[in-house]
Amino acid sequence: MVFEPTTCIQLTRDQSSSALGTETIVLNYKKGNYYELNEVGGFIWSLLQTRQVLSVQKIKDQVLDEFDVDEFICQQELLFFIGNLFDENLIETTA
Amino acid sequence: APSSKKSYTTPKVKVLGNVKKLTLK
Repeated sequence: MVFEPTTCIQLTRDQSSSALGTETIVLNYKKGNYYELNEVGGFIWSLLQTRQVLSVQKIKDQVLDEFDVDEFICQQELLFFIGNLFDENLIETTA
Repeated sequence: APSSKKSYTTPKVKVLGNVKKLTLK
């Protein structure tokens, strides 16, 4: 799956999560896997929880507003992170 | 001016385990 800045994504229904300090723990009901997201990963996750559907571009803008990071690095690492979430069936694209 | 933004680290998702593989005694 190739993600573009205009790609819109949302959390899948088969998961539940809880914030623990600066980290977030996520359980995928279907796969049975549970995960740990670090602070930046948890921030991205919280955006998707709050806004339901977001474009990759919008998420990047929010991360740039919140964290001290170069835009190019932010985009590259965001795309990689989103790809990992997609591979684990934690997010899905919207039509 | 000091940046009011938080320190950035690469966003990561780490698999901790699988509940279906837990053994209940």
